[in-house]
Amino acid sequence: MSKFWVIVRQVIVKNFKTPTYIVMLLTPVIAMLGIGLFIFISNQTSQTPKIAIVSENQAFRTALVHAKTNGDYKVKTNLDTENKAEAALSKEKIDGYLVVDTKNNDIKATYKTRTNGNDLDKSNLKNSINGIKTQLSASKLGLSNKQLKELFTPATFETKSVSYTNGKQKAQKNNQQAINLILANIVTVLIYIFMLNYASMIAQEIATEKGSKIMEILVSSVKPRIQFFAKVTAMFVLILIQVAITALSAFIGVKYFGQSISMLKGLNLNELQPSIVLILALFFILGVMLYTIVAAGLGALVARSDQVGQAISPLSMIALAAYAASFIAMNSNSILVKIGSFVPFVSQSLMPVRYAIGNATTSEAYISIVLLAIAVGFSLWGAVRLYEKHVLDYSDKKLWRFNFKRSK
Amino acid sequence: MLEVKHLNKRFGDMVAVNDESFTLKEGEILGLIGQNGAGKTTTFRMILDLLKPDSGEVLWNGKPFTQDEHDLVGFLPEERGLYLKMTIEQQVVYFAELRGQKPAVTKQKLDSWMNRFDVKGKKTDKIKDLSKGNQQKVQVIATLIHDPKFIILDEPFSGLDPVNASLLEKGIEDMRAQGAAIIYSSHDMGNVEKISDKLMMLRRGETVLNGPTESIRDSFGDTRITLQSPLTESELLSIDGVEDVQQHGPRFEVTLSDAEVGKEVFKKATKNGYIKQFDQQPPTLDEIFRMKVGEGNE
Repeated sequence: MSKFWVIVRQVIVKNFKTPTYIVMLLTPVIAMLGIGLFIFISNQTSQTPKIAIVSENQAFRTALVHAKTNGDYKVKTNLDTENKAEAALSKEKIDGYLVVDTKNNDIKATYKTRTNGNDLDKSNLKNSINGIKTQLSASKLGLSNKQLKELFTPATFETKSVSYTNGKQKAQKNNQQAINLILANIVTVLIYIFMLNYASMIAQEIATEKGSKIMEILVSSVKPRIQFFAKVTAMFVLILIQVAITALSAFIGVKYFGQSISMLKGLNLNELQPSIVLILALFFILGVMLYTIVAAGLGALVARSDQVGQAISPLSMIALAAYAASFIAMNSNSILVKIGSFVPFVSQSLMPVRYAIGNATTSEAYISIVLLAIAVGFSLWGAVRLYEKHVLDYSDKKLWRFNFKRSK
Repeated sequence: MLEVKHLNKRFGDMVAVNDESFTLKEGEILGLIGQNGAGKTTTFRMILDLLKPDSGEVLWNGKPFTQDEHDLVGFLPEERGLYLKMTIEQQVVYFAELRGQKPAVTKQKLDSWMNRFDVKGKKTDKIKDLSKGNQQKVQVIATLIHDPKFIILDEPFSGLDPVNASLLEKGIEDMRAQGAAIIYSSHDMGNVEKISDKLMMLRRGETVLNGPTESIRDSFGDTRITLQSPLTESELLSIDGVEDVQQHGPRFEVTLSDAEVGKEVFKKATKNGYIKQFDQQPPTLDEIFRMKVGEGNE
């Protein structure tokens, strides 16, 4: 095995043994299991409520008992008087009973329930009562079924989403924009979290080796350049592992529990457009790469590991500002947001949102991606240089001077 | 063979190393002495190609010595560094692997190396659970276990008790016997005198002494006498050419301006026959070291 891979393996194995990385890795899995467990428990405890239906109007009662329940409740048909129903309720055999009074053509339904019984979703029951009432009224008025249907057909109401690209109208699939925005928001949050975590991880990694003077042995064994690339590569492997686990838990979560979470209801995985998935993926990969590489360079500047926070603070501040700006970009297409969506270090948070809501075209998104890729190239070049030059330099002044120069 | 030719390095206005040259053959040990800031670490870093000299070159068997040759190097830095969370075995295997030795080979050798340096602990013990002395031994093992042909040890004896220091001396001599070229730095003259074939002393980047250990001492002449005789301090001081007399119990340490004066001292001391001790030698390295440091401060 070449020394490059020896270092890659070592960095990966070492991080796999740290509790922080393991926790980070398992967070989405635990979140997914937690949601699943929550849904499972709430499904288990809320059983279908059992009710009784009582009415002096036998025709009405029969119609209601046989109306569709949609699984909302179960009717105990043998309880046909109020006394029987009351007795069953007191013995907790049923969760509630409905008394329908049809005197004077006025239909009045009263549902009596135990406070400790299972909750009844009453909308379906109400619909059934209304439906039967309508039918009764219609037959009294001598209306045919056809007339009745006509009377109750609602006016149609439809929503069409479109987006404009260079003045040309472009139809979007129904629901598409909402999905895109949800996706862009999720990716922006993930980019931010990954950037912060891995930037500090790699800076810590390098600063610790430097601070503990292991660096002297490392650089006398393996060229600093090779070490640098090996460490960055190891970080990317760790990132990929986490992305895979996060994506897998998200996929399983949406597939199995998606319908039980109101925000995700209607999110159909088949409706994802490959183009936006690709663009978001590129922003994710390049954005995280950029921050990780720059952080590696900054980590090489400090003399001890406790200075890491200070060294990468400019980086985390930019990341936070970009993340905050992504919320502005959701509602605004100001010139600042437009420019920002092309500037590396910020674009990874702004462009995905602008693209998702249709404020930026596909070609604009790709221009921004190319600019980001160029920035990754430059930062790699610069960070290697910093690493080679400063990895054995233990003076404290360098960091101050370097940060001062940057901020000027 | 290592050849260092006319190395120069400045950091700003400070001269770190000035026109440094020496050679070191396989099976030779060079002791590099000097105070802090004399240029020892800078010298090591330039030899290891971690720092570019302003001028001069470092050759290994006639070819420039670059990072491509680093598998044959064993380097013990002045400030020790180990991965505290690793076990002894993981640590040694990793460092050896970075020098191109396969893990299986290292694992096979590790037991005998741990015995050799009397490391207290098991291979599966974590580094952080070891005592400082044992950590240092692990570091030494990690430096030597891949049988390097060229070894640099920066202050290897610092922090070791006499028993462990002699284990290390033995280790260094074993490596020499296997044909390694060894440079080490120290400020403990005792070790330097015992195991160095050659000696170089740096003072603020300048080479003030350079050569085989014995000839360096000899070049100062046999100007030190340790004496036990009936002569008193004032009698000794009255002899022409006696510069200084120090009394240590029954002994006198006499400093001469010239080795020839020794004959006069011997004659006077033995005029009544038997004396217990007369030992005329060149100054010890310790004295030479302090003399040279003193010159620099004047």
